[in-house]
Parts: sequence; structure tokens; C-alpha cells
Amino acid sequence: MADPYVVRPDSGFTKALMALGGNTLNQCYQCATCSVTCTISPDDRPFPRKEMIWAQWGLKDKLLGDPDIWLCHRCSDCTVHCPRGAAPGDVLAAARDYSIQHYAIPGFMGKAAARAKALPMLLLVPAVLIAMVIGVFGELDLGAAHVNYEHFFPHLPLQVFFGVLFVLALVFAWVSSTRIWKDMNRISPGTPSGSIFGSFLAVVKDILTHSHFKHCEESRGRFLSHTLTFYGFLGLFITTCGVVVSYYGFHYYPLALFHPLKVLGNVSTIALAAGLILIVGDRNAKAGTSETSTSRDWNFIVILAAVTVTGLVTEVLRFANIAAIAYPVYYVHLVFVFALLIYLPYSRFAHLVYRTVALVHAKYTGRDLARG
Amino acid sequence: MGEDKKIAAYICQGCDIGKSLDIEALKSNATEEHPVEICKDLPWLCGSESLDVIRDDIKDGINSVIIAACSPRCMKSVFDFENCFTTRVNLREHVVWSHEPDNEDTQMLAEDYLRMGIAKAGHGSTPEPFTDDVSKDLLVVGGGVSGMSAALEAAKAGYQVHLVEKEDRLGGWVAKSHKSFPTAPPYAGDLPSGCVGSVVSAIEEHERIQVYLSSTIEKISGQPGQYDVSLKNGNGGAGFRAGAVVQATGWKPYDASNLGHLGYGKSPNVVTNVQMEEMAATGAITRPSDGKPAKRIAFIQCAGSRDQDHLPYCSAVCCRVSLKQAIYVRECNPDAEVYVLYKDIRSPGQAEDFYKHVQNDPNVYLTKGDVIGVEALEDDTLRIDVENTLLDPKIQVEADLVVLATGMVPNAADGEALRALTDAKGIIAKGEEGGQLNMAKETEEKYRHLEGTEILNLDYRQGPDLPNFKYGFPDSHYICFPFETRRTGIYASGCLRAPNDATMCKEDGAGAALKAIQCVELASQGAAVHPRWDDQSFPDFAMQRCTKCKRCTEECPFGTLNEDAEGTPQPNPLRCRRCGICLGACPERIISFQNYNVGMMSAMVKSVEIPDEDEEKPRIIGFLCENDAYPALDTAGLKRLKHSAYIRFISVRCLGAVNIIWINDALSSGFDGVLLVGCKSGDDYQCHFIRGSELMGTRGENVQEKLQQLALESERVRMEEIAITDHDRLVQIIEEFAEEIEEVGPNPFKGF
Repeated sequence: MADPYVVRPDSGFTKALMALGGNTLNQCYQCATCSVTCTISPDDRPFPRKEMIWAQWGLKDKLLGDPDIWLCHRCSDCTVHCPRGAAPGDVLAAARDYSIQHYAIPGFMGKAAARAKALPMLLLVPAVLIAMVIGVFGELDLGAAHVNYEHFFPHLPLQVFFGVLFVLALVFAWVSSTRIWKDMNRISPGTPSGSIFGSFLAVVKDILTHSHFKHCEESRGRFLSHTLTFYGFLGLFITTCGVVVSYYGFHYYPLALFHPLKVLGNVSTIALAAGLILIVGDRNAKAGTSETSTSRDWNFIVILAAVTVTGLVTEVLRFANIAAIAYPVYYVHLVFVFALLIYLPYSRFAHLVYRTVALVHAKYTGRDLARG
Repeated sequence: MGEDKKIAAYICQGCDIGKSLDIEALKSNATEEHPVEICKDLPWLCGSESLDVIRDDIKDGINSVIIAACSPRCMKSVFDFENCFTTRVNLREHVVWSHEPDNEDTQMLAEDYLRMGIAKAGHGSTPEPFTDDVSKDLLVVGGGVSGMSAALEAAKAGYQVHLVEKEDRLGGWVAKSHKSFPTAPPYAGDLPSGCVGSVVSAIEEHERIQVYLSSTIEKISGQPGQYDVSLKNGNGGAGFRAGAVVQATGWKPYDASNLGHLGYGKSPNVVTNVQMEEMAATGAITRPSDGKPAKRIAFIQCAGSRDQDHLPYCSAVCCRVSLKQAIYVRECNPDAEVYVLYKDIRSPGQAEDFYKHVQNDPNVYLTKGDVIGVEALEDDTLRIDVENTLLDPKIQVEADLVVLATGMVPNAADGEALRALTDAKGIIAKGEEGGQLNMAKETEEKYRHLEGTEILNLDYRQGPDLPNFKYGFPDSHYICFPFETRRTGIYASGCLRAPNDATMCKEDGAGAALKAIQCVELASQGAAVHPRWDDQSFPDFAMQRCTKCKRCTEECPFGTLNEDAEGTPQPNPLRCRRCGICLGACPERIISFQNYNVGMMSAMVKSVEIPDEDEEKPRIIGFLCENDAYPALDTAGLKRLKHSAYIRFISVRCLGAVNIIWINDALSSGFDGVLLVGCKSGDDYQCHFIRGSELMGTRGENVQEKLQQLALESERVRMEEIAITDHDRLVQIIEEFAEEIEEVGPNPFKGF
């Protein structure tokens, strides 16, 4: 038998989780209603009951690398049924928030993305950088007869600039992922079987079908809002990649309004916008009741919404051909796209990375979810 | 009593009786061999016209009426006639509601029941109560929360109270504790303190309460209403007469020296919750080993509680006490960390809010788990091993101070053991060689440690203190008859009765005081206390025939009888609960009640007409305890559950109140079987007189011997124990027994 675990409680960590929306965590008395209610918690060492007491005792070393905090999709079934009002859903969200910060490289970025007050600075950096790049490569002609964004910000510098930084962000995300993977192995060793890649493919399928969302009782609406947002974003990502291919491969640019790629992009934009409206509406409705939204959540929602809106306006203005407004709006759009992509490992967007890692880890170590 | 007895029988026509039976045949057949002055059938006996008829007959000289109608448990006050002995014959529940109407066997059953009623009326008379001067003053032993509440409530109700406390001040444990846990919403904020001060002054100022501090009881002799109490104290003692006693002697902490595995006695830094309370009162929470402030304090809950090797029960307050002490720690030192290691947090009722309040402090860490051991490290740090926690299967917690939440042990003296010790010493003093001497020496060895633990010092043959029950608490029936003990007139209250918090102790005091008041009031009328509270009969001993066998003095569950030097029983009618166990025990049958006696029951048994063997109608006599079995059969009737018509039931006060002679009588007069049904015996018993079923079980062995002597089958006598809710089971038992008796065949003594 392994050596006993020497418990060293840390009330500082507990207080930090409480500040991140887990302020009810001390109300838990481990009755396990949450674990029983949760439709995706495994039978073996189910969450979130154990996470609740780890949070109460401030056991940072156990909670942060715990894959289970990422297995939770925060449907709030547990929070609604908790007899003590301890809101386990919020506590796990707080743990995830803290975890993003903890594993962030560089660390200060993790902290910055979690603060509402840091948002202007987070936007100012790309604003200056992009202005500088445009200053060097582009040409600002607000009186141009035809709106052509390539003149304003030539594509090659644009793609090199964004591409390099995005790859860098992905590298940081990869390093963070390997760190959390190690911790997950320590906390939840399980019995690995098959290959990690095989598990990854299975997880991708789960993500594409959004199967876990379908099990939630309380937040059935989340399936629709997240599906719209997810596919909206994915569609736009594919559109963007497609445009790059079309530009370099076929020298076909700009796209006509009814070009399939353009149609995909526009439909995706509408899906994304609709998803975001649902998300914001849902979060507002739940404010102060069953679900707490943190600054990291709102920062990300603001950025994503701004990308969507400015993107749409940018497109409309191109067809309207009003350079005086089109170029500034395009500039703003680029600033937000930067914030969306480059801050991925630090913002709420990081859930794309960590949840995927946790799901792969769960599959790989035989901790299968989704009983329902 | 015989010659001037004028008996009238009245048969009710209502509630299906009239239409199920041939009433004319019933009247003529039943009274053929058992004549009565008057035998009438009336529609609805309980109606005012019928009652007027009965009253007119009583005016004309009738002094014993037989009401052949519903169960004696119904309409008790309606059929209560002044200066007239009433016999109830249960034609409704036990005959027409539980048997086929217009049926030969049902008709025979009704006729037998009426004959039995007439036989009973012929042997019973209205009891003349035992009346003597009684004191209605109360003695309250123990000045803690419960005792103070008992004293104050009784005094408010107008009774004079003597409150005896062995310490030099009132208030008990609550007065000694630093602060209390909250007992009112919002169960948060500052802890309340000194909540007994106002009660103490109310008691000291009350004109009807006499307080005796630093006093103990030297002796209590007599009986309810007539207890003579003498006290010992520094001022030469005191004496007074009291009518009833509330014992509220509280609790003592469980001996922590048994908890070496939790580090007690091995490190000075392991203390009990009582020691913690004392430390908190000094204002600083420190490590006893070096006096440095304790920063990490671990509370181990259920230390020696809910543990088969120590106290098997929960002491009700330790969880809330530890939560309260966690607040002491946190108020003393803002950096201190508190660990609470529990089996279950028990915070009853609204105290859940207090639990939540303490939990809200991020520096208070709680976990469920099994504490395996506590070990002192070189630097005086204590390392606690805990298993089965959610934190991890095995954890270690380090602390500067460990507080053991130890439980409560009732401050009760073991009356029966003390008596055994005294008896053993007597035998040893006599010094006669033999097996008895060896046994006495063993007993003396076993109970020697109890010497000097007497509290009440009762002058009772069965011992100087209350007999104890499960876990050493003297409360004799926790669920049905709280506060009662096995001594009439002495009531247990507060933590002596069961582990309680101060609020419950206060309520307990009021409850026990009410029981004591009931007792003195009933004693003043010569009546018994619960459950035969309306019975003014008492046992009469035909002493000239007594053989001094001491069975009555030993078997009485309530210690009613003392003995003189020769072993002759000395009755104390006011201690008696009228259960009749003495009557059942007496081999010489010298004990009788005016309304319940050996002759009456024998006559009832013999009054039943036994059909000839060739008629193939077996007859069974059933003795039903009136407390659970008889009501259960009533319920069966109410539910129209049918049972064999070959069985006739007699209601007895307790299965212990069945004299073996009645079984003999039944078998010799031709009954084919005897069924005895009583309450459940054992530790979690329901027997209203504690030992009735158990005693009948022992006597039943003698019955089996008797059956063998008579060459009768042992199956003919069966004893069963049921609960009051077992009506369907009772019917099943009756049916099975009737079938078995048919199989065994007719009693060979039939017709002799």
C-alpha cells in the first residue's frame, strides 16, 4: 500500500477558488448528491464530491492536475440539486479557471486573461503591433474608390504575422498540455489501454457530436448554443484556411458573395452570432443563481463577439464600398482576431486544449464517461 | 363477598351482535348453570335509554353488572357505574366481528364468554383503595439543567420541592462550560454564555423550592407519597418527607484513559473536550507540553463513542461541542487551523445551520474518516492517521493539539449489582462453607469497585438504586414510557436517562416533574400509576399461609416488597404497579387483588362448557396480556379477520400475572390446549411490566415438566410474544395453534 498522503491544508488556495466563483464551496458536506446527479461522472471515484473536499482543504496539488475538473461540462445539474447550496458546478469552474492560470506559459498571461481590467491592455498590445505592421507593409487610403483589404494590409505579412504568433501560442499550449498530462497521470493513473492517438480520435468524434452535452438535464439549451458557436467558429476557421488556399493556389480573391466558401463563412458567422446571443442570454439569466460567470469568461465572450460583429461589418462594408469606415473596422477586427487566437492558451478558449487533453486522458486510462 | 352479590347481565343488540347471535338462546343457555338476578338484552347498551335501565336496576339493589357488548377497551367511562363492579364480555370484537354469524360454534363461543363473565363477576368486587396520608412534595436529586428545570416547573405547578445537589453550586456542567453552542436562529454570531444564571436565581428566590447544596442522600425509605429522606452534609444533615423523586444526576465524561490509541496519556497535547472547555475559559489555547500557542488543533469525534469497545452509543452533543470549540480556537488565534475528523456530524434540527456557519470559516477543515491512531513526534507535534477519507484513502494530519470528543456516561448507580454485592458480603460474613460461599466471593470480587457509588440509598430489598438497562441508563422504557424507571415514584431525567443537550435536558426536567406529580396525585387516591393508572386495587397477602419462599419479593419488577429478617414479604402498596406478577409467582396462591385473583380466573376457566370428545369440537383457552395482545385481537376483530371459534380468551394483566394453576385447571377440566400471548421480552422489550413475558418463559419450563408428568403432549401449551401491531400475526398464531391441537387430538382428561 502506498504511503499515507500527508495533508497540508492551504486556506489561501481555498480563498482563491472562492474568489473565482467557488464562494459556496464550504457549504459542502460530502453527501454525494452531486456525484449521483451528474450524468457523465464515472462510477469509479466519481466527481465532483471528492473535488469539493479537496477544494475545502485547499489541496492544490490534487485539484489542479485533476482531469475530472475538465470532464465536467458544467451543465449545473449538481448545483441545482445540491441540498446545501454548495454549487459544485461553480467550484469546478473556479478550479478550471485557476488551473488555466496555473499551467499558463508565460504565467503572467494566464493571470491577465482572467482580469476584466486587463482587457484594454490585452487589446492595446495587438492594436499597436498590427498598426506597426500596417505602417510598414500597408497603405491607408480612407478615400479609396474600391475597398480592397489587401491594399490596406497585404496578405503575406498578415498571414506570416498571425501565423507565426499563432504557432507560438500553440507551442505554449502544447507545453502546458504535457505538464498537465503528467499531473493527470499522477492524480488519476488509471489503467492505460490502446494508444493516445486512438483515444484522441474517439474524443474528436465526441466533440464533433457534442455527445456529453446531450446528457445534461438542467442546461439542455447549452447543447444548441455551444453547437452553434462551435460549428460557427469551425466554419469560419475553415473559410479562412480556404481563402488562403484559394489566394495562393488559384489567385482567386476576393471571393464572390455566392462562392461556396463565402456562403460557408456567412452561414458560420450567423451560427456563431446566434450561439453567442444564446450564451450571453443564458449567462445573464443564471447570474447570481445557479451559475457564476467569471471575468475570464466574459473577456473571452467579449472578444469572440467582437470578432463576429466586426467581421460581419467588415464584409458588409466591402460590398458597400465605404473605405473610410471599412478600413478602421477591419483594423479593429484584426485586433480582436489576434486576441482570440493568440490568447487561446490563457483565455477561456483554453478549455479547447485542456478539456480535450482531459477527455483523451480519461479515454486512454479507461475512465469512460457518459453513462446515460 | 358471596352472599350479598346481586349480579345482572346485559346483552347489547347493537354493532352486529343482535343479528349474528341467537340472543334468547344465549340468555337461557349461559345462565342455566350460572344464574344471575337479571339477564336482559337491550338495543344499544351505550344509549341513554339502556343506561337508564341499568341504573334503575342498580338502584333496586344490583351491585355487579355484566356488560356483554364491545371490547372493554371501548366505552370505559360509559359503563362505569358507582358502587357497582362492572364485568365486560367482549361479544363484538372477539365474537361477532371475528366469527361467522348464525353459526353453531359462534353461538357456543358467545355463550361461553357470557358464562366466563358471570364467573368473573362472582369472584370480583370493587376495590377499596389504600388511602393514607401522603406527601405531595417532590425530591429532585441533582442541580444541573435538568434537575433545576424539574424543580422549577414543579414549583410553578404549586408543589413543594427539595432540590439536592452534591456540589456547592447549582448549574451542573452548563455552568462550568466556557460558552454554549447556539440554540436559536440564526445559529451564528457570538456564542451564548452563562445561560443558567437566571434559572439559578429563579430557583434560589422561589418560595416553594428548598435547595440543599453540598449534600448527598443518606437514605430514602418508604414508598411513593411516603418517602422519608435523610440527607448528609456538612451542617449535620437534614430530613424530610417527599412523595416522589426525580433523579437528575446527569453524566460524567467517558474515561479517556481507555483511549490510549488516540494518544491520551501518551502526550500531554492530547486532551478531552472537557479539558478543552477548561482551557478555553482561561482565554488562551496552548500546547500543554510547552505552553506555546497551538496553531493546528485537531478534533477527533466519537472518541470512544459509537464504538463497541467503548461506548456503543452516540452522546448527542459532542459534534456541536467540537464545532463550538472550533470557534473558541479561531477567536483566540486568527491564523489557527482547525481539523475536525468525524464519523458523521450530528447536528440535529436547526443546529444544521450552526454546522454550516462553522464550515464557512476556510480555516476550519472537516473530513469524515476513521481515525486509526495518534502518535507524538519528537518535536511534540502529533501525527494523526486517518483512513477512508475522501481526501485520500489514507491520510496523515499533523497537529499541535488533539481534542478528543469523548461521550457521556450516565451518573447512575447500578442498583441490582450493589444489592448483589451486599448479599454476597452477608454470605461471606456468615462464613458457612459451600458452593454459595464461593459464588459470593466471586460476586464480591466482581462488584467490589462499586462500593460507595450509591446515590439514592433506597431502603429497597432489590437494591439501593435504580436497576439499569441498556448501556447503563435507568430509564425503563425509552420509547413508550419516557422518564419511568423500575421504581414507582422515581423518575429519571436529563442525561441520566439518555445523552441530551441542555435544551432537551430542560424539557426532560419538565417531563419528569409531571410524571412525579402524576404519581403523588394518584398515590393520594390510592391508585396505581401508568399503565394501570385507574386501578385502585392492590395485592392482599394471606400471610398465615406464606412459606417465605421470596419469589414475590424477587420477581416483582418494581421492588415493591421488602422482607423482614425471616424473609416474610412486607408489602408497600403505593410502590405497586398492579401488574399481578407476584400473584403469578406465588406457589401457595396467597396473593390476590379484589378485582383479579386466582379464584376468579380458575372459575372462568372452569365455567367454559367442554363438549364431549365425540362432538369433535376442541376447546382451547388463551391468556392474552391486556397491554398488547388483547388490543391486537381487538384490532383483528375491527378488521373482521376470522379466527378459530374453538378458542376462548381471558385477559390477564401481564403474562407474568398468569398463575400456573390456571393452566393445570384448564388441562384437568378438559381443554385441549393452552395459548399464552404476551408482549415482547428482551433488552429492547415492549413488556409493559418489564419482565412478565420473561418470567412466563421460565414458568413455562415448569409447565412442560408438569405436562410430561401427566403424560400430555408438550404441544398443548404454547407461549407467543407479539407487538400491539401484530394483529394479523396473532390471527395466524391462533389458526396454526388450533390446527395443531386438532392434530394432537383430544385431551384424555376430557369428561373426567
